[in-house]
Parts: sequence; structure tokens; C-alpha cells
Amino acid sequence: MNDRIDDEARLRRLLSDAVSDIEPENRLDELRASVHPRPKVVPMTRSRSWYAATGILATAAVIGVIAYVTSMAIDKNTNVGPATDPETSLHSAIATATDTASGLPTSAATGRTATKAYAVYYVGADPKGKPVLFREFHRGPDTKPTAALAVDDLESTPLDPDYSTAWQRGWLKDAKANPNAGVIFVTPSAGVPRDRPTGMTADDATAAVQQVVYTLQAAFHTRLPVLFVRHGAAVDRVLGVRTSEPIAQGKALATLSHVNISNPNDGDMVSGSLHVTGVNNAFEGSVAVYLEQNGHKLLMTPTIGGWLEDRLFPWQVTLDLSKVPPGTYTLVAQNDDPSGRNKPEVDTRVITVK
Amino acid sequence: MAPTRSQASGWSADEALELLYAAHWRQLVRLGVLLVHDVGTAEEIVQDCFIAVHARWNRLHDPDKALAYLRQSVVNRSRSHLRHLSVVRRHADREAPPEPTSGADRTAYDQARRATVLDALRGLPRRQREVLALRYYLDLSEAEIADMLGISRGAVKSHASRGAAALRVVLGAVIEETR
Repeated sequence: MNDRIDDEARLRRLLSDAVSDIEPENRLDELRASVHPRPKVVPMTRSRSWYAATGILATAAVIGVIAYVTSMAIDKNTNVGPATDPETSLHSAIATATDTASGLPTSAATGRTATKAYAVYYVGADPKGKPVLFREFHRGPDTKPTAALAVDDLESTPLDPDYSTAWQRGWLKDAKANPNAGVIFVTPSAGVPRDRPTGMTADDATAAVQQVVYTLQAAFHTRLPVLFVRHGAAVDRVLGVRTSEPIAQGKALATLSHVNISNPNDGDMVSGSLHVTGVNNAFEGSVAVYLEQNGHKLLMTPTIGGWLEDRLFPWQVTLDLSKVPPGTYTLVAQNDDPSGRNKPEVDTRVITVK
Repeated sequence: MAPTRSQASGWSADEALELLYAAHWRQLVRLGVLLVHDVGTAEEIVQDCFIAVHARWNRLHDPDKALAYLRQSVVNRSRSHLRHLSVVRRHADREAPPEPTSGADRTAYDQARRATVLDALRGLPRRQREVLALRYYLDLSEAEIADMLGISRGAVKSHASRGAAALRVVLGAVIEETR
């Protein structure tokens, strides 16, 4: 099965590569002109008696002059296409589109400030050191659009110090989902490097772009691909990654960590029964959840997520903390590692038991 | 004249045209190149498809499907173009491959590899080429391809399998290099 998946991945790469350097000419102005052809000139009406008096030839000459003058006026006013500026037109179209498409919260705050949870994807490392994405759930005010909250956090330090983000404050703005256009639009600021910065590997750059894809898709509850646009046109490269076409979500097992704790978050204070949730993909779905302190493992609890598909499966366990002495612990979720190489896939959270 | 709006989406045809162009012009032209093997022809075909979508915008029952409609139009018009070409231009097979745009970091080797892949695609039966382009370039599912081409999922699977096998024979060395 893996051979077949590898084979398909190679065909995907080959076909995409075969046309990757083809840069079509911009035909937007031609398109606009085609769908809004120059209006026909309608000659002024004349009375039959006037026709009779001046004769057909004279009439034709007058009409000819009127037509010429009128067409000059039309050229002067409209030969640049639509009356609106092209960029403004696209910007307003994107902005308008989004309001109907994003599923953004509309409820007004009542009394206390209501909050909502949203997902943000950060970069960590798998056991081989390859950058992979880990998901953190954050909470923010219900009154602010989910995508805006998620993008803010994408450009901030993650809660878990094991993770990092490639995105700096202010690098991304105006994330808009638009099912009509079949994409999520996002605008990178002029400060976002077009080429891969020194010290950033190609895998790091790919993971950074996928951070945006996964986070925005989660915010908008859609799998639409993400298009980076600036001044009304697709940005051809971001961090050295080709972005001239909408970027689809990367395959789950090639992009995401194979084990990820969803709850609790790093730094949480916990007590009583701790409900731990997460996702994984491992041999027979096996994942072990436990607390660790000074090399000692406590409350080792095996559970099952899933495997054999290109996705992550949810799992959950409840740890009874009633007999655990107060203190700081590392909560570990560890995938089964049948290879015996002692390099299991793990995700951790540092928590404080009260 | 007031812009025509689709009742289902609240979008005018002009807005849809701008958005769809911004998001998909490049990808659709590239899909066209995989199908007809010529950049200029692909641009013409895709441009006509955009005009057709604009003209029919207020009659689209589900504007969310506009992209699917555009893709289907590209496939259909590419097919019509090839049929026409085969009748009036028997020497089409001797046409030069599409001329890639220049780039500072492009190597002759990369160009040769890309031309080889496009040539190999052109050598496939039309249906296999369409299925492979939709499956491996646009990443559509078997169900989506079946719907678009009006064939069964089994037929999609069969065309994909045969097409991929044929490509493996022709592109064996190139595929090996990507391992």
C-alpha cells in the first residue's frame, strides 16, 4: 500500500512540476472587455420630413460624424474596462464575499464576556527532527472573528515552548473564506520574505505555509485551499514556497505530528479528574498517556486512537489526580513504537497539579 | 445596467469573475496545458470558459459549484479543441512543446524533464490524460472526476490505473529520479 501511495505522490509531483514554470499572461482586462463590450452607438432619431428634405447621403454623413464623436467619448471614458479601478474592484469583491462565507460569530456579548475555542497550528519536530505541525486550542472573545483570533495567535508565541511559529506579528491580514471563489484569501504584508530566509530549510518553509493553511481552514471550518493575494493578484512566492496557485492542505501524515494533545494546554493548573484528549495515528492506534516527574512515570494509561488512513483519530483518557502529590508534571502522550528504536512520537504538556 | 446577481449567492457576475480569476486563472491555464499541450491555446480556452461562466452566472443553480463548472468547461473545451486539431492539423503531433517562461534558476535539465512529462501525457489516450490531470494535478477525488467527466467511478479508476501504468513505462527513468 505504501508503494502505491508513494507512486501516486511521485505522479502528483511530476504533473505539478511539468507546468510549474508556466506563467500565463494576464488577461483580466481582455476578460473585462469581453463581458462588457463597448455599447453600440444608437443614432439620434430624426423626423421623416427631415430625411425627406436632406436626402439619404446627407443623413448618413451626419450619423457618421455623430457616431465618430460619440465613440471617441466612449473611448475616453470607458476603454480602460470597468468604471472602477481593477484593484479596488477585486478588493471590494473579496471583502464583500467574505462576510457571507466565513461563519464568523455574530452574537453580541451579553453581560459577561463569552469566549470560544479555536485551533492554531504551530511547528514542532517529529522523532527524526522533521518539522511537523502541532495543534493548540486557544480561547478568545466570542465577539471577534475566529480567523482574526487565529491569525493573531499564529503570529504569537505558542503556549507550549516545544513549538514555534515562523510568522511574525503583522505578517498576515485580511483572511477571508470565499466558497464562490473556491479559496480562502489571505494577504501577506510586504514584510513577508519572498525567498526562503537564511537558516530556514525547505521543510521549515513548507511547514510554515501549511501552518497558515491548516489554521485558516480550521477557523473557517472548510477545506478550501488558501491563496496568498496582495494588491489583487496572487503572490508568487512566500518564504521561498511557490504560492502562485491556491495551496491545498498537505497530507495529514506528512504534515502533522502523529500524536497531539488537545487538552489540557501547557501551563494549566489541574486537579481531581483530568480529562485528557488528543489525536493520533500509530500502529494499531496505540497511544500511552502518563505523567512524568524526575524520570518517574505515573498513571500510565493506554488508549486507542486509530491508524491505516491518512488522518488523525481522536482518543481520550481520564487521569485520577486525587492521589498525585501537588507539583509540576509533564503530561506525555506517546505513540506505540513497534520498531523498537526507542524514538516514539510524543507530545507533551507541562501542567501543575494543585 | 445593474449587475446581474445570482439569487443563491448574492454575488454579481462581475464580482464572481474577478474572484475566480484571481484565485484560479493560473491553475486552470496550467490544467489546460496538461490537456492541450500549448500555453496560448490553453489561455484562449480558459478565457472562453470565464466568459461563459460570467454569461451564465445568474442561471447557475449553485454558485458554489462555479469552480467545478469552470474546470469542467476547461476539460470539455480542451477536448473539442483537440478534436478540431486532429481533423484540420494532422501535423499537430510535431508541434514544439510549450515554451516555458524564462527564469534565472531554471536548468536545461528541469526543462527537459518537464517537456518529457508533457510529451508523455500527450501520448496517452484522451480519457486517460484527462483523468490523470484531474487526479494528480487538481487532486480531485474519483467521485469528483466521475461527476465531471460523466463516467462511472470504476471507469475513472480504470483510466487512472492504465494511464499511470503507461506513464510509468514512458517516464520510468524520470520517476526513479524522484524517489
